[in-house]
Amino acid sequence: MKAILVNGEIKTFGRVPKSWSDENGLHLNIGDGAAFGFKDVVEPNYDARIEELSNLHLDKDVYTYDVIDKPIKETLAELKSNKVSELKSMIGGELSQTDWYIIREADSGQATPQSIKDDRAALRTKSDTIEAEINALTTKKAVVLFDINL
Amino acid sequence: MALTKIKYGLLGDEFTTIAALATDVDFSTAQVFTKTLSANTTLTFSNTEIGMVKDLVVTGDFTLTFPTGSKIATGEYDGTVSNLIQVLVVGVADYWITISQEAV
Repeated sequence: MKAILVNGEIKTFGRVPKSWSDENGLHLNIGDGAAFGFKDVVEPNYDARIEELSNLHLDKDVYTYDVIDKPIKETLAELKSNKVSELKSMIGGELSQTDWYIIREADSGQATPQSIKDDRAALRTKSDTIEAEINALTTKKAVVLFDINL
Repeated sequence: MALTKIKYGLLGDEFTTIAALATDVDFSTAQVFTKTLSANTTLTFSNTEIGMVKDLVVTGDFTLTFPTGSKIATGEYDGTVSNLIQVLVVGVADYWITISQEAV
C-alpha cells in the first residue's frame, strides 16, 4: 500500500496510480511515485482480537499506524459466558462422536467399551477445569485472548 | 465561384503535418507530434484554441507531465510501447486526454 499527503490529508492507495495530478500538472507513468511524495504504508503487527489500527501518520520515511486497544462492548461476565458456551459447544462436538455407543447400550444393552467411557469422563473433567480457568479470568482482554485447547 | 467544400489539399500545415516534439506542443504547427522520451519530460501547450485536437505518438518509460488543467478521459500510458495520446482543447487551460496503444 502507498500513501501521499494531499492538502493536509493522507490518502492511501492499494498501488501507485498510473497517473497523478498536482499543482504542476498531470503526470503519466510515475513509477513508484516517490518523486511526487508517495511513500510505503507499513502496517505494524497487532492482534486483531483486542487491537486495531489508528492514526495513519508519517514516521521517518514511511506511513504507519498506531496500534490501539479495540473497544470491547461486552461486559466481563458476558465475555466469560460466551467463552464457556464456546467451550461447551466444543466439548459437545467431541462427545457426540461417541454418543452412538451410549445409545446402543441403552437400546440393546450392548456395553460401551470402558475406554470410551473413560475418554468421555476425561472430556467432562477437562471441560470443568477449563470452565473454572475461564471464570477465574479478571480482565476482558484475558477472556478474549483465552484459547480453548481440548 | 464560391468555395463550398474544403479539401485536404487546402488545409494548413497545422492540420496535415507531423513534427518531432521537443517539449512544447505548438498547436499551430502540426497535427501529429512524435517523441521518444529519454528522461522525465514536462510538456507545455501553446497556441491552443477551443476545439483543437492534436495527436501525440509517444514512447519511452519515463514520467510524462502535461500542463495543469489536463485530465485523462480514458487510458493509461505504457512506457514500453508507442502510445497514441489525443489532446482535445475544451477551454483555457482545460484539456481532455485520451491514451491508447496498438491492439495486439
